[in-house]
Amino acid sequence: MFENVIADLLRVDGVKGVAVVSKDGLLIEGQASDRTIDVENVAAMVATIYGTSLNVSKEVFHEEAVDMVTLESPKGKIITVEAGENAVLTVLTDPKVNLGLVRIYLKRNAQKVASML
Amino acid sequence: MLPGKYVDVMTDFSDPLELAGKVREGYLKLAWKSESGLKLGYVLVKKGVIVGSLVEEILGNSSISGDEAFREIFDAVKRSLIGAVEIYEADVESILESHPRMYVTFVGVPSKSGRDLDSFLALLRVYRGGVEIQDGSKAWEIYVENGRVKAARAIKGSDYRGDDAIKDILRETGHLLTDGMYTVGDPHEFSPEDTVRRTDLLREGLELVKEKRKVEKGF
Repeated sequence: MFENVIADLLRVDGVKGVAVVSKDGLLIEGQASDRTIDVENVAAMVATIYGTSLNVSKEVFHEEAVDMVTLESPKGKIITVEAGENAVLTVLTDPKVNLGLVRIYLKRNAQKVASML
Repeated sequence: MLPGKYVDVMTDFSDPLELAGKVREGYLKLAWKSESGLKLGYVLVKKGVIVGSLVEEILGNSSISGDEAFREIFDAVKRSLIGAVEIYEADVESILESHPRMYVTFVGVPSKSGRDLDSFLALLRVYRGGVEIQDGSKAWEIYVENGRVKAARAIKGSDYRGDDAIKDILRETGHLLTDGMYTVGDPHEFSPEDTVRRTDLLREGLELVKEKRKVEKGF
């Protein structure tokens, strides 16, 4: 069902994997161009990171809302946005990806996921 | 990736290609997973008519255009692999000017079943598989591949096979245009006697009928 979203994001230079994940950590749909990436595993971890970020936001900013969560490591980035009430959309990228472009595509496709769920 | 303004994403449809009728000028964007990987297809539409097509292989970095691309999209539609369709507004003329290979040679919107001559002719151009044609008292089964009818036989009302079955269909064109319908489906196994030699005959015959109707309407 989300092949259009996954295809759109995988077309962006530097994006190696895309996943639509329920907030409780279940992989709804995903695909990686790199076979070493276990999308299902990443999905579960991403949901945890997103949940923790919400808690931090609530504690620090007194608001349980997060626009975007970015994890940067020397080997790549994981960027996650909310996609409707019950899901998040996440991408795994190379370290030198064009972050601005990825963010635009993520936001746009998160809206599509939200309207499709 | 084609230029255009995102309008909507649809998930509630019986045939994704019917959404072409909702597009004034733009394209449908659809993606699906096939045996060879994730594919992204574009169907260019002007005034509800399909005018161009492109399919890109996402991880393989290859693409196909025109009728060949649309054949692949139609195959994915037939196998119900399309879960969502995005609609974009775009300047179709300028897209086709810069990518002329995307032009398709058929007119109309092929569908999995119908009564319309344009849809049937479009189906003959792009479909690969079996089609049952019936006009109430008679019925035939044909096998279409890459725009050509490879096999045919009557299954009700007569026992013609091969080229004779095609001629039988053309003889009944009058009935077919008023009471006929077609449905795609998995054909029964065809035998060597069902082989059609004049593989363009049905399409050419029906295109002539279409032209004749156009001329008659003009008078």
